[in-house]
Amino acid sequence: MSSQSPSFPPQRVHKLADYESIVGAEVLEDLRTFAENISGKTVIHVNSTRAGGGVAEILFRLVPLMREIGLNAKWEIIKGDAQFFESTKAFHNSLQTGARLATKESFDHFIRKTEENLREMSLDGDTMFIHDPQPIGLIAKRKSNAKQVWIWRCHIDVSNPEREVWNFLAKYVNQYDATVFSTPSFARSDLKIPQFMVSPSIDPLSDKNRPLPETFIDRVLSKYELDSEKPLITQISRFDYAKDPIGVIQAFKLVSDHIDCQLVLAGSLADDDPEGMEVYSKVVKAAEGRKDIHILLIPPFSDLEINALQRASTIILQKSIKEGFGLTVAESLWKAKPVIAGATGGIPLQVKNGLTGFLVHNIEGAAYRMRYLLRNPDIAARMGLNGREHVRQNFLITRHLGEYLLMILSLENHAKGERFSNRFEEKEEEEAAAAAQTHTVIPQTHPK
Amino acid sequence: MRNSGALSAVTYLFSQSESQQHRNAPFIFLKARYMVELTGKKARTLEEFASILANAEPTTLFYHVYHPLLESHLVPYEYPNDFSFWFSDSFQDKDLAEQIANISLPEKGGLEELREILLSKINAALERNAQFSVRSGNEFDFVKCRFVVYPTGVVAKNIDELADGISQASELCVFYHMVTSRLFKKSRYDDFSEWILANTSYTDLAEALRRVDPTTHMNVRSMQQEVLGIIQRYLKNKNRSSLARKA
Repeated sequence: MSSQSPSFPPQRVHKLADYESIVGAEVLEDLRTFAENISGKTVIHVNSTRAGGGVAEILFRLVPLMREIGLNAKWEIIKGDAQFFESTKAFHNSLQTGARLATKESFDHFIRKTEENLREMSLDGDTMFIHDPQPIGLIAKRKSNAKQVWIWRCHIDVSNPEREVWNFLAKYVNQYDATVFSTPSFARSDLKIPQFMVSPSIDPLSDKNRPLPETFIDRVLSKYELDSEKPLITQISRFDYAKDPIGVIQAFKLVSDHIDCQLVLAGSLADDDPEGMEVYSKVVKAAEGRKDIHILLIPPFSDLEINALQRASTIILQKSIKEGFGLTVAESLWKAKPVIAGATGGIPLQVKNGLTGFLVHNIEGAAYRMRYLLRNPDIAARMGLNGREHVRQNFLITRHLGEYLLMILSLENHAKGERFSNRFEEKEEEEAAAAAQTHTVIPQTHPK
Repeated sequence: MRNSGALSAVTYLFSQSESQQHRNAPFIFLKARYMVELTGKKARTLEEFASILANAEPTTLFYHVYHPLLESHLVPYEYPNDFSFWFSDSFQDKDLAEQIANISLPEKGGLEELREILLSKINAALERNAQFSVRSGNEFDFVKCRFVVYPTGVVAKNIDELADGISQASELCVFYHMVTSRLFKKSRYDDFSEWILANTSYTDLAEALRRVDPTTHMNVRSMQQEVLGIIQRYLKNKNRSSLARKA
């Protein structure tokens, strides 16, 4: 098996200028300013799948934008067999839940497959972004090229990991130049490298998020036999225990005792997630006999349908027990829908309690908030508008791109060993050195 | 060989023989973008909070106290900085929250002066809060930041151009000159005031601008409007006086 760059799905790839009406000219100007200083650099992103999940969704958009502003950006996928992905899923769950799920064979097989990938992949970018645990071992390739910058981009919650798995992975992590987490609560006190915070993002122009005609939305509702006249409560996520789909059904049953409404649980199965089918089967069983509960298994890349379902919804749920960031939350907020979500991971960064939605801690909390919003549509509408603006300012792909560029600038110049002489010179030698550690200055290249 | 230790920065590549505070130098409008760096340090009790704060890097204080001004909240929060919000919302000590909210820009000690002020208030509250610990998941996560400073391409050679530049400046630019630069220079003066002092005779104007308190504004636009208002009123009065003398 040899790794190869994946081709993108047949969606229109947008140019930076297309975002100006949404984010404003200043944001785009700043992106171009940053990029000028690293133009031509090779940036390689590596992850484990191009189908399913938030990471692939972001990279589909981010990599073309990086190319547009002058970077030689690439996206590589590691290879793995079923046992490898079972191992990494065990790692994933161990990290997020603290449960001891990995076996000796998990670690051994992970190492074997990592070595295979190391033999087959060139990994010769100036900056390497390695996403999540599956490709983490690729850092070993680094020994042959000291000028590279390697960044481990972690999208999951590692704040309370199972100790053995974390210790195993930390040996790799500490070899990187920096790591990136999605939220402050994921930071580790036992890492010896800088830990940046970069929230993931959505693309407002993608099929998943762009405006849709009402006629299209109606057709999607008809396709899935959903009643366009009844309030619709929707959760869209992978079928994963961490998303608590059974809890969603239980909460909905409490609501439907009082209010006539319908629930949709929709998601697809990712090819690096062997547990998905098991969860899906349990969810179907939990909804058995209920005509007002719709469990939809949607193929990957069904972005327009997901978009339509979100836009048709009265309320969006993301009742996660554990979450990395929760991209579906930002998607829903962007569509001006109030969101009821578990207070975990990156969700509280998006759902500001009482302003853009509600954070809940249990089934009863979710049920109550659903009833509250269904009974108070004005409040729900106001929350939706708040949420959209909150996403516009904080969770769009242009912000994401900018933060990666700033990180590359900082880390690449550190690798060159350049020091800063700055306009904040202090009298004391120590204060000047301390200021130099926090300031990066970019030259003016286009005087007005 | 992998580099270890703190990040160093890009060299300032273009020649800048004089800072904008120097006499006869144009004011160069700059701005900065901030990258959040996580520390992994969390506080559940007030004692933990004080201990972490006492040893935190200056950018930690900067980010938590002043960066909220840049974060464009849709609905104004009751408290203007991360610390006071946490003290009220999670730690349930509204008395302390209000005290921490009422902190202006340090006079001249920069962020170390700010640290002393914060610690004095927190230590005073320790007695009544010695046993209280927030629930798991409600800890205060300390972060720090790195920032990238870059020119906007706009310069001002006189007070009118300075006013024009401020009027059209972005929030990032205004925030940098009014807050970031002042704090890290440990100056009593923001960049605008400093330039006015160095290049004009308008010392009263410089003093009036120096007294603008960013922490009383809910967003940077509001602060920008105050700064412009001060400049415009001052210049209008100056012109009126000048005309009156001629008459």
